Amino acid sequence: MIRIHHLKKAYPNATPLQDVCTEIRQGDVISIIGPSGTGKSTLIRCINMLETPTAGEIWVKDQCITDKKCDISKVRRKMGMVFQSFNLFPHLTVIENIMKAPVDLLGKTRQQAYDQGMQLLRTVGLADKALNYPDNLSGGQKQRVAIARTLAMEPEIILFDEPTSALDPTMVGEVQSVIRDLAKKGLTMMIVTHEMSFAREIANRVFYMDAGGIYEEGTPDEIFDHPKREKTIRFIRQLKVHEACITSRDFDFIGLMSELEEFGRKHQISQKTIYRMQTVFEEMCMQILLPQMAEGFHLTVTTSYSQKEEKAAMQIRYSGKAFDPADENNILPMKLVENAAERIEYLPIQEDAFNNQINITVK
Amino acid sequence: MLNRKTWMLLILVAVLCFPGLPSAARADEAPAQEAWSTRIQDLAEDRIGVVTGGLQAIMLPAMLPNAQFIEFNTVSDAAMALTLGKIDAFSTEESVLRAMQREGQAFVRIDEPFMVSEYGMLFGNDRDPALRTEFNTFLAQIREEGTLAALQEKWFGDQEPTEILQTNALTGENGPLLFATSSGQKPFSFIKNGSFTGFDVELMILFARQYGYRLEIVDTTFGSILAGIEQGKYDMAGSGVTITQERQQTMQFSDPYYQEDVVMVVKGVVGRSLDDFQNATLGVIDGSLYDGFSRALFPDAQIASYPSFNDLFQCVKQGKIDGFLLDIPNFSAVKRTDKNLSYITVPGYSVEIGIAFGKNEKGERLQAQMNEFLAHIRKDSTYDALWAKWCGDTEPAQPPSVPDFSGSTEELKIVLDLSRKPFVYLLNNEYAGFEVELMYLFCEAYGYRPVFESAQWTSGVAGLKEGRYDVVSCGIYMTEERKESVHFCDPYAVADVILVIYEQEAQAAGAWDSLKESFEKTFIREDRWKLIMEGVINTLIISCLAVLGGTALGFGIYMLSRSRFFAISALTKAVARVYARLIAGTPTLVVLMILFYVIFGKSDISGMAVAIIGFALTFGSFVYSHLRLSVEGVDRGQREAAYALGYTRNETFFKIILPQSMKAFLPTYTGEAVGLIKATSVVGYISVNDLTKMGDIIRSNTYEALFPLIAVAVIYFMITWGVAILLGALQKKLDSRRRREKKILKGVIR
Amino acid sequence: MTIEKKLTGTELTIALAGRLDTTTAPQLENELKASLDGIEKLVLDFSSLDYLSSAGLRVLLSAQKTMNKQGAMVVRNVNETIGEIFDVTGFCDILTIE
Repeated sequence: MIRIHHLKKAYPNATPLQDVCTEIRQGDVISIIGPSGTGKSTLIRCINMLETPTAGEIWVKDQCITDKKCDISKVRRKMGMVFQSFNLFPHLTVIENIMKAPVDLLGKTRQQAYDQGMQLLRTVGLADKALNYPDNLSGGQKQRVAIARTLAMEPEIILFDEPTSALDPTMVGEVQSVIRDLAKKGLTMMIVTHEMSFAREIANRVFYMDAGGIYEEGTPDEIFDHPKREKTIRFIRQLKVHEACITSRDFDFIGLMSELEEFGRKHQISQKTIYRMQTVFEEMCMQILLPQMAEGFHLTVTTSYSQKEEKAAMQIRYSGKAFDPADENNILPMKLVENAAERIEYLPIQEDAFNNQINITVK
Repeated sequence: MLNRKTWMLLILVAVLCFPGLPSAARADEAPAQEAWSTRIQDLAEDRIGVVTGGLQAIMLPAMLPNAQFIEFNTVSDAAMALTLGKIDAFSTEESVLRAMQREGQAFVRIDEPFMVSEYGMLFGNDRDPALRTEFNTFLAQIREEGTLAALQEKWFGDQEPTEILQTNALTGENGPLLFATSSGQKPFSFIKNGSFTGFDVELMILFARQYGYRLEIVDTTFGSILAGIEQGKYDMAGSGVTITQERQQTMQFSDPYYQEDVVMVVKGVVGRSLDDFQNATLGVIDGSLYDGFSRALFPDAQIASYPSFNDLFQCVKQGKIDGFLLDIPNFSAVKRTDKNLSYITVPGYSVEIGIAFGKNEKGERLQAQMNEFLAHIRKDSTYDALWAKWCGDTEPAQPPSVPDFSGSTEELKIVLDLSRKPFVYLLNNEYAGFEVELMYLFCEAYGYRPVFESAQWTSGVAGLKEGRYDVVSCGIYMTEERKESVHFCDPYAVADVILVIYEQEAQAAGAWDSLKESFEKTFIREDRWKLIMEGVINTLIISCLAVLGGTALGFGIYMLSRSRFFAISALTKAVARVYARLIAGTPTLVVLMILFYVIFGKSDISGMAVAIIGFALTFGSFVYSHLRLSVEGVDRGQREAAYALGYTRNETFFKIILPQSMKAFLPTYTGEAVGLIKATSVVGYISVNDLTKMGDIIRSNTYEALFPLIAVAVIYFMITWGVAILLGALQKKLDSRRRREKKILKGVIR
Repeated sequence: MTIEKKLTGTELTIALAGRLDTTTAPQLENELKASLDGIEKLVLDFSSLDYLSSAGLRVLLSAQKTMNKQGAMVVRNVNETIGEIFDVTGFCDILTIE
């Protein structure tokens, strides 16, 4: 139904979408998740051309809507959008909000629009508020009215831009149940959301947006239980990561140690774990690896902490020869490392500049 | 308590009563200086009013360098200022003064001619020179026929003419003749019964009639006339314009059509002249000099005798006599005690005051010495100082110091009649007065020792004859008769004779009566209410058209600035921004004047059209800025929601955004529109007869300031109040939140 | 790391506060080299010591060796983490821990 070809959206300061290609089929309910600023809202706002793409094409049912000649207003009438800040018309009553567009744009009579509007209000459970003004309603009620307003136009696809982000936690549920009902009815929907459980429950496809595009895509089970790619994993597991890159013997050791300390404190890692991370770093890098490195070496230490699982892991990559655990000098430090680690993995040969990788799961 | 409406009504009534009150107070407002003497130099340090651009404004400052000159737009304004005591004098032509006096203005001229005015008509620069030749020919012709003299007699005579020529009897086969005038200049040009009239106007009517022009008269300020002539806006102009060398350098005059004196006008006595007293009761001191004068001046008057001057003052206060003759120095001394004492000058009469000596050898000697002494002290400034001290504005606090006469040998027996202030009287129980101090100085100079005796002057003179006294000093009037019995020195003062009268306070008028009179003068007389109606209509026309035009303009510019084409919208926005700054920084009046005199200067466009254009431009600028702000104030999300539903850009603007922007837009809009009505009050400056200008015209005709002005203010208030209520009701109707269910669900069955 | 020394006769008590790691180990090493002459008993107070790495262990080993010739060395007030290190590395047998 909707095809997106190499969509690019650039702003003076950032380029949230670099190259997006995907297809949306009728009946799809797509949850779009990802960290802030990664173009989730930008993507759906490009679909109904509220944002003008810098490059690329979007096809809606064999009509290229990115073409200048395209009458976008007509296309939009078949798309609905629900906003984070509701955007109801404050000077009109609830029922008028719902009636207005069908009367103005679809040529319906006021009576037809009224009847349909009341029916929709009943569906969302707000029929008794028909003559109220939006500012008399709670946030959840406003959003339900907003959904009814888009439904009045009988759209073929509804785009939800963080529909519950501005709501009190107590009201999130009522809006989610309305959206759930719509999904059950088979409406095609794209929902940008931060609510992970809801995103999983309602969708048949999940887009994880990151690094300028749809970083990874899959079924809810695939994405949430078995994320394949690094950033997806990090996101799903709510990984916090600290990276250190060392290229010279004279690097700032004390600085790095305190960075680790800070990292730990920031993410509320237990003191013992922080201690162990520092031990791993000091022993592994300072005592064992650094002494044996040749000129022009690379050494990176990636410390990641999963808030979900409350586990810390460190991945050390280095160039040059692998170290010898049996070396006399290494015995003492290794003992300390082993004491601090739950698991140590050695992967001798990897791509790129690093020859060796050690994965350590810290206790 | 009383509700709001009743309070407002009470306040309104109280405000209208105000005009009545000051008329009682007006009599108390004594001018800074009354005409003590009838000399222009006496005004050397006073405040003098002159008309802007008039001849006097140029010449008088040279004559009186220390005086303060205040400029007025019309001579009526200057007259008003004099009445209120804001200035001490103003200068105008003799004829103008007479016209004012006929109107009941209490002005007199200082009887000292200092200038002559020649009047001519002005011709617009760069316009047809043949017109001037035509007019001069016409002038020569009517002069020969005697028509000109008759016209002059009619307008510059004593009575205001009742028959006036009408302008609508003109055929105009040779086209229109645009004639500018300033209608506050009686008798040259003024408005009576709603039409233009006056000498200049009638002269022009005669001219237009003869040469087949259709006369079109434009009324504006004197300064605007001159400016307009220089720009060639008008064919001709006339308003008692004086021909001066300076003006002739830049403007064309006709041959002079009239010439007269320029006078200095000061306040006089209300409508009183000596003739009023022909049948009055006058007081005299029996057998005195003034007795003879009174009988000679007022042969039919009743003469009542009293023993002394004090009695005469008392009687005139009480109304027992209507007045009595006196001289200025004697009057000045008493005048200070009661400000209701006033006088009328008696032209041609004066008295000599001197000192009497016996007709004997000693007396002759004293006479010669005194004359020598007087001549001497006149040369050095002793005399002037002495006169200023005793006969000036304030009374000295101390009697004169007595010199040391121990070295003097000869005695001088001097009789003092102590009832002759300021010459001889008692101050703090000591002898004081001009003559007393004079005598002290005289004796000191000539080595006499004065011995004073106080007595009535008649007995003093008798004693002189018998040789009992040497000198009689009491400010004696030197009459021929008396010169037979005594030797007089040369008169040490020559004083003007005046008729002393007493002015009652104008209490009789009363607030209510003067209010009624003011009302009648402002509205009823000469159908002046018609002028006001015309003014109201003009004000409303300008306001309505300016608001409509400005709204359309502002809206149009705004829509242009929203254009899809970047070039158009960017250009429009830039121009609009510059324009709005210019308008915001320039006073509206200046904008109007630039439009009228500069941009449309050469064209024939009417002041009204310029006013509408000017106000439409300023209002349009406001509408643009405010509309832009109001629209930008609508939440961004509204636009997105509309787009998302499928509204086009224009549909979104008109159906979703604009209605919401009205909430912020309308209140200020209605406020500004109402404010515009008041702002139009300046259009008088570009010759539009709006409500304010009409009030001004009435003011200059009636010489009343308060009633016309307050009436105009009240009318403005009622107009703006009414409009505000109307617009407020409109706003309520448009307010979407106030709709009833019926309106919301119009066309729908539940 | 701060080092506090207390000398009573031939007994030297050194209290360490902070971290004994690669950067601070040389500091302790120098201190010991300068102060150990004539000392018969070396007491190391670890009550304020937060962190110990292999670099620190090596310095302790060398100190132990020296004191073995001169007298005795005792390590006191070891916290749980550091005790664990001593256990795992076998240093609990080399050092006298109290």
